[in-house]
Amino acid sequence: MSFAPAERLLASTSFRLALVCAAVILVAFAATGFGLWYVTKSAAERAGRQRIALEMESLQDEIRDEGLGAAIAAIQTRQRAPGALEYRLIAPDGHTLIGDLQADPSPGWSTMYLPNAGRGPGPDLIILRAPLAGGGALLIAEDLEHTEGLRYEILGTLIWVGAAALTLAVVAGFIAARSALKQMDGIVTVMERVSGGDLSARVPASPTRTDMTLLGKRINAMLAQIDTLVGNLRRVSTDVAHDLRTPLAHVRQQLDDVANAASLESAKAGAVAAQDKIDEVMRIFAAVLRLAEIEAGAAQSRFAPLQLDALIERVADAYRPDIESEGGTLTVYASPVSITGDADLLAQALGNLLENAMRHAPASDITVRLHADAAAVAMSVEDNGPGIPAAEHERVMAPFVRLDRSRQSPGAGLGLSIVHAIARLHNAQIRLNDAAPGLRVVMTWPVN
Amino acid sequence: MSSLPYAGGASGIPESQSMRILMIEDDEQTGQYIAKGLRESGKAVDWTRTGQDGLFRATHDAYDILIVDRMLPELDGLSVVKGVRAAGLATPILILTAMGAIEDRVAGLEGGADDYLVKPFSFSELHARVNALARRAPLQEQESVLVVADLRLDRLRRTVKRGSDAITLQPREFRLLEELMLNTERVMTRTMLLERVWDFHFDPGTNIVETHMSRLRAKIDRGGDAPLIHTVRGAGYVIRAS
Repeated sequence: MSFAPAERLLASTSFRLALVCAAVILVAFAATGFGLWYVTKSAAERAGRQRIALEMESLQDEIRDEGLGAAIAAIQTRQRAPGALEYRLIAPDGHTLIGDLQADPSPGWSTMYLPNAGRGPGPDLIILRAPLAGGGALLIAEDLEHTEGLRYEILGTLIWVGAAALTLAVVAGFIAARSALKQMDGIVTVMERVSGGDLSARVPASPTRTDMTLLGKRINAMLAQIDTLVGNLRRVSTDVAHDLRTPLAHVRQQLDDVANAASLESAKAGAVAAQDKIDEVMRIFAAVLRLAEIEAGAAQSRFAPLQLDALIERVADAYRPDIESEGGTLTVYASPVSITGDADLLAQALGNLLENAMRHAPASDITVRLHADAAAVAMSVEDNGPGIPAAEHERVMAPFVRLDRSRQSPGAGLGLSIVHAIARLHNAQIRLNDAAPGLRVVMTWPVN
Repeated sequence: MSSLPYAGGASGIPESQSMRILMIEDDEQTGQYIAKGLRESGKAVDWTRTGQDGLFRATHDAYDILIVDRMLPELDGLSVVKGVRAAGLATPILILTAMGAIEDRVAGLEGGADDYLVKPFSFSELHARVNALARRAPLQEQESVLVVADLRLDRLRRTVKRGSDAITLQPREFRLLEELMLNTERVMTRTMLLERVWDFHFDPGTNIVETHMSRLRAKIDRGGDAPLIHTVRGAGYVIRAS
């Protein structure tokens, strides 16, 4: 899938997020603007009515106390002042004594809409008409357009600030999207290389700590794991093929002998020898299948609580006569420990460790220890044989790896891999260390 | 094919003459291999290739043993086992599995099978298991004293006597002898003993069985007594009087 740059930008998550942010900003500013418009408008109206009412009271007082003439003079002065109210004084006979106000509403409060005046809804002119004591009427009005200037200024500011915020959001989104897209491109390139078979491809490291770099790290960890597993698989296939070739070649030879046998007796002997070799091949197959099965991890669903110390005693009990008959000893120090796991597999793990010790440290004193504290359960198998050089601990730990000298003995190599796989299945760790002299293999379970 | 390595004939079992076996196996070669071997050792073998037909035959005819492959067309082996058990039949069933031995074993045994065997296997292994399954008489399981010639094993007191001599055995040696005597005159393979005596469902690369067996023999068959425990070449061990 390839996008044109603009399309890709629009499709990018960060840019879309920025657009959403911008839209939210826009809506927020619009709402604020409308709110302010109405609030200021109704406040201006209230203030206008108050002002008119006060003016009406003061002028009515003046007419009552000093007569119409004084009121006319007062109005004349007041309507010249800037921002003044509008007036109309009507004589008892009906003609206008003073004032520019053209309207002639009924008594009391009224409002008027002036053509070409206000732009918002609501009255433009508020008028109060009150009758005079001796006949006639006084009208006072306020044109609300006077207060609109301020409102437009506020609105204008809001629009400017909103536009700036909007632009900022889009630009920030664009920049974020571009850097995310760049990192994404890096990941996509790596994915394509991996699909093409290059398992060594890695997402380039970045000093920043974003979700994208985090994703990159995760992908790298996954690729490293896959790389190891595939590498192991390749190696184990080669190893198995290698292990099988020798006994199969022997079988072939023995069958040749059987085919050309001079007597029935020698033919039978050859067939029996061939059977033994085939058994060896089948054992290797069984081990490989077992390993594959353990690695598949399905056994975890069958985990049950078990007494690890009892299991160790049972396995040690089985191996002890064998070890003793070869001139070694087997000692167990196990305190009662209960864990959750697969008893069959754990028995096999310990069995394999004991076999390893017997094979690589013949006639040595083997000690099995089980110890538990608050943090961990540790099971160790140690011998006092020649051990493994510390430099090779790491290597022998990797699954399917076998040291050259142990290649000679059949089945070796897969033994420790099976132990390793069983440990992994149980979330346990395997460590090798120097028992000085000898080798110690420790299997550790964290206590949850 | 006459030199097939099976050892059943060695124990000379009268029951096998009348033993009827139903084998449900879709693989032609495996089926032929098993059928031929079992027939040569005097057993009557019916062979069907599908689970559907196998279940029908198993529930409509009387068999002493069913051998059921785990992977079958139409109806898989596990369903056949469950179907047989659901029909109320207690016929011993041996399941044959290919890969996924651990999972299949548990699923098979939980589904009602009596024993399992992982492919590839040697015929002697299959034969020993078939014999052990067929003649596991319920009474024998409950007997408290097992006797072979002048050897007596008391399962309650946990004592062993050869003639009038008391023999002291380690617990595991006792279990080993008990298992052999429960299956007197039947060949027990190394794998069967590992499973039943040690509860090991893997192949230890060492001589666990051999070492224990030689210790047991040293205690049971000593001096001028006629040996009771016999090694069957390529198959396993058997305890019998002669």
